[in-house]
Amino acid sequence: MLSPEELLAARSREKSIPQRSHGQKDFLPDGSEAQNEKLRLCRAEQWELLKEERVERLGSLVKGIWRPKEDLVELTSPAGKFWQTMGFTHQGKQCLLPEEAVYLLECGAVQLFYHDSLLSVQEAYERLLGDQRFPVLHYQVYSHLKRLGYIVTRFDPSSVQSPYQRQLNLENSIRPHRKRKRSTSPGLENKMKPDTARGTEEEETQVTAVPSDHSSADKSVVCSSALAASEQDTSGLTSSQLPSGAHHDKPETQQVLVLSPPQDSQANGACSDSRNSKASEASPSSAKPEPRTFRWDFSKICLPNCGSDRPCVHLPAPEPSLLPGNVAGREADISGWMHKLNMRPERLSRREREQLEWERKYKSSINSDPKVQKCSNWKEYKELQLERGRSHKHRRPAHLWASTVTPLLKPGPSHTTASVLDQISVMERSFLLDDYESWAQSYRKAESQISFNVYQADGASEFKKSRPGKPYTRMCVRSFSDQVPSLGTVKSLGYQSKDVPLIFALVDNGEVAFYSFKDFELPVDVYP
Amino acid sequence: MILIHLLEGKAFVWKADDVQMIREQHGLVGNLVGALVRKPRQNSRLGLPLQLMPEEVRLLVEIGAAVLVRGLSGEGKIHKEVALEPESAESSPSPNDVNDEQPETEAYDKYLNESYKEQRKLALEDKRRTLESLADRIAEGRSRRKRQRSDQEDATESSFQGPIKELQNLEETFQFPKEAMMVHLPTAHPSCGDTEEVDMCQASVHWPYAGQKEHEVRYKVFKSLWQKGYFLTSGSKFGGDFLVYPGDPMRFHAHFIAICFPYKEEIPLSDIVTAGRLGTNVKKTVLLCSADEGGEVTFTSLQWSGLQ
Repeated sequence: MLSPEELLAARSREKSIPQRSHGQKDFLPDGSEAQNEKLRLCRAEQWELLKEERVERLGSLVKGIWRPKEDLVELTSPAGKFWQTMGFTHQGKQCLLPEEAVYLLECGAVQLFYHDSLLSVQEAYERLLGDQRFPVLHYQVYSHLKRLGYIVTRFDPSSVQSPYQRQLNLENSIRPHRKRKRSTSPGLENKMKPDTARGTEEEETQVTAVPSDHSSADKSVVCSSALAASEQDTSGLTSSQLPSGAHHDKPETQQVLVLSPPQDSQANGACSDSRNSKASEASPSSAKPEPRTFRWDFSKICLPNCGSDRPCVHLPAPEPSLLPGNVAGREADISGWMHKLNMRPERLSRREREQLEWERKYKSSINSDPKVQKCSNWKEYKELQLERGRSHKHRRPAHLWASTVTPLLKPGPSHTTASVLDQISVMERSFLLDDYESWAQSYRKAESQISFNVYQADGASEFKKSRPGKPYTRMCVRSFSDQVPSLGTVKSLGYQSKDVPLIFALVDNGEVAFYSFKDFELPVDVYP
Repeated sequence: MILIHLLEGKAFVWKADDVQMIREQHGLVGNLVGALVRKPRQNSRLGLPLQLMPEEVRLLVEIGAAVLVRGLSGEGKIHKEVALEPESAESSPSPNDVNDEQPETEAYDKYLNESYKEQRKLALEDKRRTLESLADRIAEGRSRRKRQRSDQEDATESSFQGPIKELQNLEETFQFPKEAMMVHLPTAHPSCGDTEEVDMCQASVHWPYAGQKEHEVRYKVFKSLWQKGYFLTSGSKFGGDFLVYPGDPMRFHAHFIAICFPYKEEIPLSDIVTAGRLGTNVKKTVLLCSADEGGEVTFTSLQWSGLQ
């Protein structure tokens, strides 16, 4: 222990690191006085730095007690600024994980006690780290990243969200492994418990509500909303709000769905028109037994065509059984609404006109094919396609196409260089995470695990302990003497990390290096 | 005697004096891996502990300069604690937890109080000395200000009385809150405590290197180069076993990349090309090193030369 004199003297200690300004390194030692002097200076500087002991103001130190049984450090004075990114609350007490405690001790931010004595850094290494607790190798990577300014947390496989979950913003419902909430006393925590429990229940019900919305037949959503919207429009309302309560969260998408039928018929002209009219007349083809049974009988549901070419201004009352109970439907005349449609011809820019011109020359719409026009529904169209395909095959010479070995390239009207290259490629491109499932069976037990989530700590990051968000990267710690990870390991770890890049940290005698495996796509040098 | 502490098969030196001795007396380097006391949150210059390669450890122990020990306080005690836990904790687990909060830092608090008294005394002395040395200037400044004011207000009194008033009752007015006292966070364990010497000739969980074929070759090569007066560091950054420096790495560049091979093993030609290509790119000579059964070490250097 340092004497009080030495402790006080440390207040006025040099705070900056000396710049190594002893010139370029020399090639060979020549025994000259100048070289020896430089070396002496360098070494003296180094020993001065190393002999310095940690001396801190008592007021700026946070006290912690090492609890080996619980494998944590319990803070007995309020945590400092580090609490924003480190530590957790356990039974109403502020606590630190062993690696956090050792790192903060090395930074001179905490005092650690165990059995009535202050722990030295050495003791902290020996007691808090080690195979059974937190491997030294992992600590070396942890402290290296922390010193670089990153926020580092332990990786918990169950915390990985699928991109779908993230898209739905389910972050709230997934809670960190350890309770990160800061509460002041154990008594308070007990009171809070029912509250938080209710909170999660609510979140869960929300969670289940969203997917069920998706899984229900999309068609019914479209149809009912279309009816509802058309009705609204007839009553002269312009707002897009819908009476049906179930879909209140997506008014805009619904409107798009509503508007699409008239636009379609305008663009596609005769084809869809004929289809529609036939459907409304209940043609024999639609009356045929369908392979799939729908909840909706489309032969009875009238989808009005309000296009300019076919002014249907009278909308009959919708079938009451199709409407929600609290919504009343009635017939309507939409002639008043018709003139509100934008009927002005489209004005095209020069480029758009050129594009149209080019399309007219080189592209043909399948709708202009008279045989296609005769098809009244998808089934007929598909039959036509099949028929045509068969007749194509008949034209192919049998000696080439009849046996099991056939040409890679099928003769057809239009082939771009890219599509030809694509068809004749025998080897398919594969990606790192391809066919993970088949690999996973043989590598059920991965030889190494992901250790850390790493977050950037700059202004752009929105890291919060309770809501850490998507990590910048994930770390897998390996020793230099380990083998390079097998493809199976890389695949399974990569799959575990999902869309967060995985980096391998390699520790050799205390030095840390990083590497990662990345997919590389060879550029294809052809124009379509 | 230098103490080398083993933790999870890694060797650490915790005392700055030992680090200096290892470097200056024994010509061994090691690798600093801890946070630097003066600036802990950066990676360009690190501090204690010094981590040693297994070869460095073995050499230091074999020349009788160091002892390899293993702390029993860490891993050893975990088993004991776990084993003892049922009997001791069963009787009263919760009061135990409550109780040990206070006594756990009692002795330290006592030390802290004494240190605080001392520090306060010293800080007071310090303040008195500063004040005394500056007393004249302070007094001068005050009387000047007073004179300026009295010029305006036309006051008559002008006082210049010896020692300034702060010095008179400094003892009572001196502020030195307890938070301001300085505390030492020691780096190395003050006493060697619960340790056990590790036998390096026997492979164990703590020292797995004994008898490893790879380690034996590396050690022989390491020792031989060290005896020739070279400084060595880990060569993994350059794809080799060691980097060989003609002098202290602080002041000299490495000249060689030493790669160790078992004595009677064929080396694939591609490995030699790889090594030679790398060596020329970093302007270092590649040494292919090996040791025969008798311990004789042979070095072969690779030179990249074109036929012209």
